[in-house]
Amino acid sequence: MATRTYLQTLTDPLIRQNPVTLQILGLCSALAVTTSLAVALTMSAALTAVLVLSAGPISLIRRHIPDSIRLIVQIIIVASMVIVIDQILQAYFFELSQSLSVFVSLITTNCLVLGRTEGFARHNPPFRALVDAFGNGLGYSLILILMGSLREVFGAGKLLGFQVLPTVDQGGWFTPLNLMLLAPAAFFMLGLIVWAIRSILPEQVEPLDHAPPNAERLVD
Amino acid sequence: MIRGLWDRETVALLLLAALMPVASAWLWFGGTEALLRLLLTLTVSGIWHFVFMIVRAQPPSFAGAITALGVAMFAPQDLGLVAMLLGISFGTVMGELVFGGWGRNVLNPATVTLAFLGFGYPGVSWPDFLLPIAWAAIPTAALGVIFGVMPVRVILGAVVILMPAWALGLQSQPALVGAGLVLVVLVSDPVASASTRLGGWLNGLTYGALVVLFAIHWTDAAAVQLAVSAALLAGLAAPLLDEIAITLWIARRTGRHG
Amino acid sequence: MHAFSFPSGLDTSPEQVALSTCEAVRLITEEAALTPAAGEEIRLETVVSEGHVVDQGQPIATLHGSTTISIVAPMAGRIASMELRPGRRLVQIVLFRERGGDRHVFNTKGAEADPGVLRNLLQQSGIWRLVRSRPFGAMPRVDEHPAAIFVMASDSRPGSPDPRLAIQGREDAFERGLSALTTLTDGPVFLVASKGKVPGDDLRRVTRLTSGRLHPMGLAGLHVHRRFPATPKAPIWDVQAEVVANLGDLLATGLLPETLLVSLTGTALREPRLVHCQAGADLRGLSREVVEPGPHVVLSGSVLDGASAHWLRPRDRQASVIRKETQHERSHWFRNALRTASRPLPIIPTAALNQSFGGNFPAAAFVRALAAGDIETATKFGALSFLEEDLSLADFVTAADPPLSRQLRVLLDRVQDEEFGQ
Repeated sequence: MATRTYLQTLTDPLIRQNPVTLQILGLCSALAVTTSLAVALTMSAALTAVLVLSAGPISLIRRHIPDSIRLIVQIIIVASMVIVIDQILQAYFFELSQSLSVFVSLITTNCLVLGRTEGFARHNPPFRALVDAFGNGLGYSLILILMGSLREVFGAGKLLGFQVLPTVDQGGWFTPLNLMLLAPAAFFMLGLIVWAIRSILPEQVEPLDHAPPNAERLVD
Repeated sequence: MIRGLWDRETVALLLLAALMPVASAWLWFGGTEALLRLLLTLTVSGIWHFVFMIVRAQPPSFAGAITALGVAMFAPQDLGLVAMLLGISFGTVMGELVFGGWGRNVLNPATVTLAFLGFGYPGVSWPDFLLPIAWAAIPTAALGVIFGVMPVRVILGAVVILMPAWALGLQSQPALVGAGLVLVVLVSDPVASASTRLGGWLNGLTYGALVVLFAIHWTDAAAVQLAVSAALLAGLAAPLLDEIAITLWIARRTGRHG
Repeated sequence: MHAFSFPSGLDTSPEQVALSTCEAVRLITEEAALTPAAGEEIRLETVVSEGHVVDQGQPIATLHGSTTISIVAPMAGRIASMELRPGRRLVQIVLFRERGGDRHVFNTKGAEADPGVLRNLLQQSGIWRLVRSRPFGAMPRVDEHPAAIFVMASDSRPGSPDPRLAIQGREDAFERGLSALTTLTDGPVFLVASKGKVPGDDLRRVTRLTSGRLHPMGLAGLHVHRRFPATPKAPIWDVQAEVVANLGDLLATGLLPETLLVSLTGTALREPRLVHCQAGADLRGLSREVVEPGPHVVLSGSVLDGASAHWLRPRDRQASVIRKETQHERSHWFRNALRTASRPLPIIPTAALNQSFGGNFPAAAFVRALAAGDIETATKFGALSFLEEDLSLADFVTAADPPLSRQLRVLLDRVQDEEFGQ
C-alpha cells in the first residue's frame, strides 16, 4: 500500500480496483439512479463530493478517534457532508433532487463511503486519503455514467434529454425498450459489465467455493 | 464399460420429438407466417450457439431448437425485426449460454426471451391459439412423460389446479389453452423445473395457482401473456422449491438415522 | 408423496433368465492370480517366494503394517511370479496349478465362541479381505468394529449369478457363518435378498430386508444408504452371502471351499455360462469354450462396473465378454477441444437419472454436489454410504463424463484424507 504512487492511488479504483464491479459496493444507488444520464451524473457528483469531503477530516483526526466509537464518528462526519450536499441540490437543482429522491440522503449508509473511510482514510495521511476518495468516486461515477447513458439511450432513445434515436411514436424507427427503465435491466447490465471486465482481467475472478473433482485425474 | 445413450443431446432430441405434435399442429394452422418466424428464431438461436462454440468451446445443443420453437410460438406478433432479434439474443445468451450451455441454466431461455419482450415492449398483442393446437399438447405431454424427459409431477401438479379452476369458471377457455401450451413447451423443461419429487409437485402447483391468480386479477392481459408470466415466476421459484424438498428429505433422513 | 411411487431401476431380468437355464460346471483354470480389488492398493510382506509350492488356502503374504491379515492361495499350486510395485504394492501374484495338491487346514477352535478368535481366523484365512467396509470401500482396518453388517444374498447387476444359487445346498454352513458374523458387531445384521425364504432369516439379531428385482435395488449401497448410513466413525460392512457360507464351512471343517460361483455373460459369448471356479481364475480360460470368434474384451465384473482384466478380481462374481468396437472416430483438434472443455458435462435431470438411484433420492442435486466437489452437501445426501458400483448405473444412463463413480471416488478420497490425514 505504502509503495503505491499517488497516480496509482488515483487510477487503480477506475477499473482494476473498481468499487462497483470488483468489490460490488454501492449497488443500491447504482441500480436505482441510472435510469437517465442526468440523474446518474448528479448522483456521481454528489457521492464523489461526499467521499472526498469526509475522507479529509477523518484522515486528519484518525489518531484521535477511539476505536470503540470510530463508526459513530465516521457516520456523523459523513452524514453532515450528505446534509450539506442535499441542501445544495435542493437549493440549486430542485428538479434533479426530486428525481434522486431519497438516494442522496442514503449516501450516508452507502457501503462504498464507509468502506473507504473505514478501510483507507483511517490509516492514511490526509492527502493520500483525498486522492483515494477522489479515485473511488471517479470509479463509481464511471460505472454509473456508462449505465445511465446505455439505459437512457435504449430505454427512451434519448441522451441527457436530447432525442438521439427517433422513436416510432415520433415517426422514426426506434421502439423504446421499456425493460431498460426497470431495475432488472440494471442488474443485467452490471452483470455484463462485470463479465466483460473479468474476461479482460481474469485476476479479478473470485476463487470457487469448492474444489471440483480434478479434471486431469479423471481423464481415462 | 459400456456407455448409455441418455446424454444431453439424446434428451434434447427426445424433447424435440415429444414436442412434434404441438409444433406440427401450430405450423399447420399458422401457415407460412409461422414457418418464417420459426426459421428466424432457429437461425438466431443457432448463430449464438455457434458463437459460443467458437469463443468459449461450448458444444452446441439441439436444445437451441426447443428454445426457438418456444419463442416462435409464443412471442408477440406485431414486434419489429430488431425487437425480435434483441429478445431472442438476450434469452439465448443470458438465459442459457452464459451459464455454460443447456443443462447448466437456471431458467428456460425461451421463457426469459418472452419475459424480456413482454416487459420491454408493453402493449404488444400476444398470439391466440386455436383449440386443435391445444389438443396436441396432450400427446406431447404423454410422449414427454413416456420418454422420461418431461417431469411428470410438474405436469400433474399444474393440471390438478388448472382443470378444476376452468370447470369452476375461474378462468376462460383461451386462458386454459394458453396455460396448457405454455405448460408443455416452457414449464415442463427438465432442466429449469424442479428436479426433486416434492419440488416437482410444488413447481406444478405454483404454476397452476399463478395462472389462475393472474386470470382472475390481471384482467387486461392476454392468455399467453399471463401464462408466460406464471411460467417465469414458477421457474424462478423452482430452485427454492427444490431446496425445500431437499431440506425436508434430509431432515426426515437425519430423524431416522440420527 | 408416496401415492405416486413408480417402479425404479433397470430391469436386468433377461440376462438373469438366460442364466437360470444354465447348469453350473466345475472349471478350475490352469493359472490363477491374486490381484488388487478395484481401486484397492495393498502393501504386502510375502511369506513365500517364486517357485514355492503352496496348498490351497495357505497364506502367501501378509499385509504390510498389520501382519495378522493374510491373503491366501486360491488353489494348490506353484508360485509362478510375484509382481510388486515399489513400496511392495501388489500388482499380481500368479500361480500355476499343481494337481493333487493339499488343502491348508486352519485352526478354528473357539472361533464361534470368542469374537476375538473369530476376527483372527477371518484375517488369517483371507476372508477379511472379502469384507468391504463403507465409507471408502476398502477391507476393514485390523481393529475395526462395524456398526452394522449387511449380508448380500441379492445382486441385481446385469448378468450376475443369483447368490442364492451359491448357497444352495449349503444352508447349514450359511447359517453357521451368519451367526458367527453377528458376534462381530453390537449393531444389527441385515440379510438382503429378494422375496422368498432365505436360510438364516429367522436367526436372532438378523433383520431380513427385501430387495427389489430391478437394478440397483440388489446392491448393498442402496440398502446401506436407506437403513444404516455409513460414517467414518460408524463403518458398515457388507459381505456376500457366498463368503458367509464359506466362513460357515471353514468353521465346520477348517478348510476353505475351493470354488466360487461365477457367471460369464456378454455379447461376444455364444451362450451364457455358470461355473464353479477358483478365486482369481484366468478369465480367458473360463470363457475359451463359449466365446465367438472375432475381437472381444474380457471384463471382470458386470458391463456396468467391470474393468478389462485377465484375472477374476476379488469380490467379483461375474465376468463379461463383450465385442470390441473397432471403429475409431477420426480425431480432430476442434472436436477434441470441445470434448475436453466444459467438463464435467451437464447432466439433465430425467426420469432415467432418478430411477438409476432407485427412486426417492434427490439425484440431480446430488450429482451437482459431486460435480462441484461440495463435500458437505454430498455427505448430507449420504454419499459416504455409496461406492463406485452404486453409481455405475447412473453413469450408464447419463453417459456422464467424467464418470460419476470416479467423481465419487475423488470425493471419498478427500474425505478420507481429512479424516485420517494420510
